[in-house]
Amino acid sequence: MAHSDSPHSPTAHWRARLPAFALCGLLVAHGVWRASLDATPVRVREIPDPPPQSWLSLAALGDEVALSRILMLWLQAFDTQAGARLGLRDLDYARVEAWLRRCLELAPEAQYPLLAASRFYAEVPDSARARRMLDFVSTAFAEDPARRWPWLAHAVFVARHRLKDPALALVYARQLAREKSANIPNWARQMEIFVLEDIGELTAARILLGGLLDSGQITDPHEARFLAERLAGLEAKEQERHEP
Amino acid sequence: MSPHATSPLLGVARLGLVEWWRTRWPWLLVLCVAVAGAIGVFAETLAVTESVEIRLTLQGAATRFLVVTAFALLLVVNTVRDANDGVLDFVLSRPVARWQWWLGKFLSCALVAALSAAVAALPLLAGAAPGSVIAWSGSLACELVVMAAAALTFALGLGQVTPAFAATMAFYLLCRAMQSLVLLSRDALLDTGTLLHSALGAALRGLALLLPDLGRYTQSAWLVGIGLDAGELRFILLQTLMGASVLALLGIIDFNTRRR
Repeated sequence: MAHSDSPHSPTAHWRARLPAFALCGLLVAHGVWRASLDATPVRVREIPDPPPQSWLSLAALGDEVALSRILMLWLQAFDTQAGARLGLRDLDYARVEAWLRRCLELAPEAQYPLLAASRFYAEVPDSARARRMLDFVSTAFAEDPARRWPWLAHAVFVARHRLKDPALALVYARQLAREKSANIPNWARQMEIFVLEDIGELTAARILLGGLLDSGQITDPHEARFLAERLAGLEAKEQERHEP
Repeated sequence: MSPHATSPLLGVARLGLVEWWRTRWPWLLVLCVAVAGAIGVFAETLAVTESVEIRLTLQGAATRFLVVTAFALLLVVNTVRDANDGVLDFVLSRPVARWQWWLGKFLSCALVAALSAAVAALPLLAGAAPGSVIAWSGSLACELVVMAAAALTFALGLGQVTPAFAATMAFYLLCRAMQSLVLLSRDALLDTGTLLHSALGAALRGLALLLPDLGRYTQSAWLVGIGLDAGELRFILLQTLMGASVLALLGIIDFNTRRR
């Protein structure tokens, strides 16, 4: 047997390692080739229409709460796509609302869709889009006021101070005040009074506040004292306004 | 049942437990639970609210799916290997009746299912109420028991890993989605009014009555305190008893009629 044919010869040693070298070489070549390619062109996707509720229930395989949360995370991240970041103004808000509605239908106890609507999607500098989100919150509140009142309270704030629309803020505040559900705290129900005061409707605010104090609904003495002081303040303002 | 009948059954069950241990199931289970935990933690970092709820629901859903899939796969692979390598023939050459072998094997799977569900539920204690986690774990154990009966039946009936596992997973997905399919068949928008549609709808509803309703098992919502009540747990126990019994009987009848 020649020396080069021996399994212990240097030639045999390198021959045995040839596949490993070839593998390393191919990996390096693959990496170099991929690095030399042009970057993937940016293609912004539009938000799709949500599928029917029944199809989502089917896809959930019985676990609708988990699917609702997965969809919320997907929707929340939709404005950040590969190579691009969309502004909220670029999103089709009709479809956004439809997706939020689907998520709420899959998991009615979830707060995420309403937080997203009132604190994220309603913060867009586009009055029409913001109003759409606030209307969505208002409709959702009517379906389950005991659980969803915080988001309508925030909608009052957004309408008054972001949209500068006191009439809209008053509509939402009245919706909170008129709701009979016991879970809504007094301060949320009293927002109507303070919105009225804020927009100069002192008489209406005074009447409502006086009625609230006389009704006996306020049981906390500190709260009663605070509201009584506010009532006195309203009366004083009204008197100043009527004085020549 | 006489002591003579139970001892081969228990012997087969003991062998089955040893086999589960030797095929590294504990490590696979830990891997599934770890991956599900990673999914939950990742989702939690993305959430701006209800982050703990999101972690629990996604971790619970992922744990359920991964553990059931891995459990069924390993059971199918082990059973087909036993049949192909002659291990099954060797055992049946002993004074062990086929039904004793089948039930002994099923008993070992049920024990592994209970232990696996307990281990899978442990990470969920970080955030979920203990009562909810116990209920979730019990339901997962019941789900694994039903799937064990199905996987054994399909593995012995079909004799090969790929078709047996495909049939097992198709059964699982159908059982989970059946109620939604029935609702879909009743959707007025999809109702064409034809005889075919009515026949398909009736067939679906009939099938729904026969299949175990796995869609109601191991709900992620329970981990966040939604929808858990005694009625649901009672349903799951009864459904498991009936579903596993039907599948076991089917499997034993099919096994007995095969020539080996």
